[in-house]
Amino acid sequence: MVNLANPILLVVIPLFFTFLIALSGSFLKSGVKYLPVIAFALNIIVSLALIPEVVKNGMVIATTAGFKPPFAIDMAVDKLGLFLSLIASLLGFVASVYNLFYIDEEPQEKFHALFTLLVAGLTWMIITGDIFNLFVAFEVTSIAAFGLVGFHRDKGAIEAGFKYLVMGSIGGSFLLIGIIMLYAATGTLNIVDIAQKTSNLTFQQKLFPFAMIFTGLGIEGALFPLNAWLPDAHPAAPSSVSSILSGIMTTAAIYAIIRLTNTIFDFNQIYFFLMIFALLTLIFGEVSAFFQKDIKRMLAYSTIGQTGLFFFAFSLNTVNGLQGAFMQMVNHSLSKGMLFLVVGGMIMQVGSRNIDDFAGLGRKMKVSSFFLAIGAFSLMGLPPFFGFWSKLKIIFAALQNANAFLVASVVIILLMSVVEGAYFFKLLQVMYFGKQEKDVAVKEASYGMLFSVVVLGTVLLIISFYPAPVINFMHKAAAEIINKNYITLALKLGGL
Amino acid sequence: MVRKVVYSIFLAIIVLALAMFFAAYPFGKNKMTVGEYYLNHGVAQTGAANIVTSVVLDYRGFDTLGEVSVLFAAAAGVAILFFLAGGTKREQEDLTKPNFVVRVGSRIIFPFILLFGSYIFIHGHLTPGGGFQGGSIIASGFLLLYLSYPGTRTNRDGLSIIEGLAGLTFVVLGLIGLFLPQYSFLYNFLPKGTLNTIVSAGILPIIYIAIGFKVASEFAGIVDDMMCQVICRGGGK
Repeated sequence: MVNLANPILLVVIPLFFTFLIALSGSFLKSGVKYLPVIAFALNIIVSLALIPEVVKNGMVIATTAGFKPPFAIDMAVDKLGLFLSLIASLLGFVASVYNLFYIDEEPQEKFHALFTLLVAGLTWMIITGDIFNLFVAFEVTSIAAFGLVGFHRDKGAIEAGFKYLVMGSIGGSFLLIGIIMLYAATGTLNIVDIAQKTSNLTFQQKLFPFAMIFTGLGIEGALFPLNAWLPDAHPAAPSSVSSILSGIMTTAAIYAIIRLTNTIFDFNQIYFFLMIFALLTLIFGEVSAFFQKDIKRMLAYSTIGQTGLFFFAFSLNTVNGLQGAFMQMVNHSLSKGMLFLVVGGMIMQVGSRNIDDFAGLGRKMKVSSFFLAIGAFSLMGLPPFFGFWSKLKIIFAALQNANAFLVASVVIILLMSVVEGAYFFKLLQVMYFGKQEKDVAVKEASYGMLFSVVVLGTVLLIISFYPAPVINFMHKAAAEIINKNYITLALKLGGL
Repeated sequence: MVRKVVYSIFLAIIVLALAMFFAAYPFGKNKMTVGEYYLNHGVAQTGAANIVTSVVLDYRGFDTLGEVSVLFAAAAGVAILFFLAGGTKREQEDLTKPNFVVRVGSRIIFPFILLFGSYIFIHGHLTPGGGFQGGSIIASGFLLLYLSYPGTRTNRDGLSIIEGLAGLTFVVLGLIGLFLPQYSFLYNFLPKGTLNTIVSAGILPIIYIAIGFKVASEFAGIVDDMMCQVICRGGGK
């Protein structure tokens, strides 16, 4: 029996099912929609099997082709990669269950194949230990996403898909140029191997590749001012896809920036610069979200704001800051992933994305509205939800060695939380107390769709009320990143 | 005007940065730590006479699996965007019929294109070229058919079955490696054979043949989708 605790399975299983969908699409017809569910259920099992291994050894490494890195590609999962891949598998599973009841448009088999590929690519970005492999995963993810964003084929979807295609391709080119520069400078592609050879490079030799890679990943990670595609693409996509795009894609891109900045580009001069980017992203996202009438657009802008928040926490470059960033990543992935799924069900019933048409839904779709409220509260950071703990952690981390700038940043974060609260409460107020003028027959979403929402909501509630294990785990993960354990562990376990 | 100036300034900065960076690495100077290893050990370790193939399919075979998925995603994306809501209902518009020379010429040349493409991907581990190149050549043959006979329709179900089978071959060959004592994805478990013969390099030729079929069917699918935008009528939303 094959050992399940192998990170490569996290990529290979979904790829296997993707090709199986292509193979069986013509005779299984809409039966192919069950294949992604199986794929991500298996992925969850593999992620769970990885937990004891990662806790015991600190890292799990899988080589390919029977050769040792850096000559062959390897997958390396440490604590940070583990919890992100677990979240990716969970969201992938939940969203593919949701798809069973949500996608009725043709061509279904193409949709499910691309959807599986999208989540596979995101997991791939998270677990790879090779920088060119990271680029390949980035390409898989973005090209699958281009097609999915345009899936509805109306004017808005095509425009959004095209805009994303152009910006995503430019981002990919920048990332590739950065990788070429690193290869030119070090002659190797393995992340750990590069990290060992960059120490004798000059500042300039590190700054140029960093700028290129940061731009490339920043487009995918929706950092201001590179995020013009996101507010169009996320609303235009089918809701299950928006849930993945908002829930994991930005997170995965920021993960890649964190990983590369901390292992390869080990310089302190840039964190202040990153912090300014983060704050601008935060302000831009939250303020724009406040003025939206379209609910999915509002959530998309809120994603930008949240990305800014956890990117800010990362740019503090302290253990506590990173811990806050990771906690906020988890909080955002779960709550935003859930919100998009809830909202998708509501839009199906109401037939509109305008917030005003959601009036009175709180009484008609009780379960959906309840979970929407939970997700919104957690994003705002209301106690006792998990978002409260993560925001608290970020603020404490920022005030740890406070100077005037950091105090000002904390004030901005708090202000933006108020803005966030304002638009979410506005939405909830419309839903629970608004009066519906037109009398439309609105039913609760179907049980299958509710199942997905309830699963994510339950996970969110569990970690809200028992946050200690998650917080401790994140603390260890953050300490490993700051102490550069990734490099030492990889060297010890044969990742090089 | 202001925009253009700003753009040019940004472009100049990028170009300058690239020039400054790469000036430090003169062309031809040996910097390839990993590349040197491939050159010295590639043939012995993989049994492929074509060193590029040994890198692309063996040492970095997992990247190639990714590239195969990228192409799959691109083809599926095109199929989604060009999908006709009417399903299989595809009416044809009258296009001017291509002349006699084109029609007969393409018929004569089509089998040779198939043969040439197959040669390229079957010999991928021996000579330059491989699955991607061979597959594209075969797809270009299909493009020629579409141009000379605008009414040509390929069997799309057949194409996606080939596509899926080829992809599965790649993944399953890789997975076998996990059941062996070496415990490594894409481990080359077949005997290496004699260098420079067609049956050599273990699983590499099988993978390249699979990729050849996959690329050919994907490109043919893309051509079919795009041709349909021109000649199909009555579909769309």
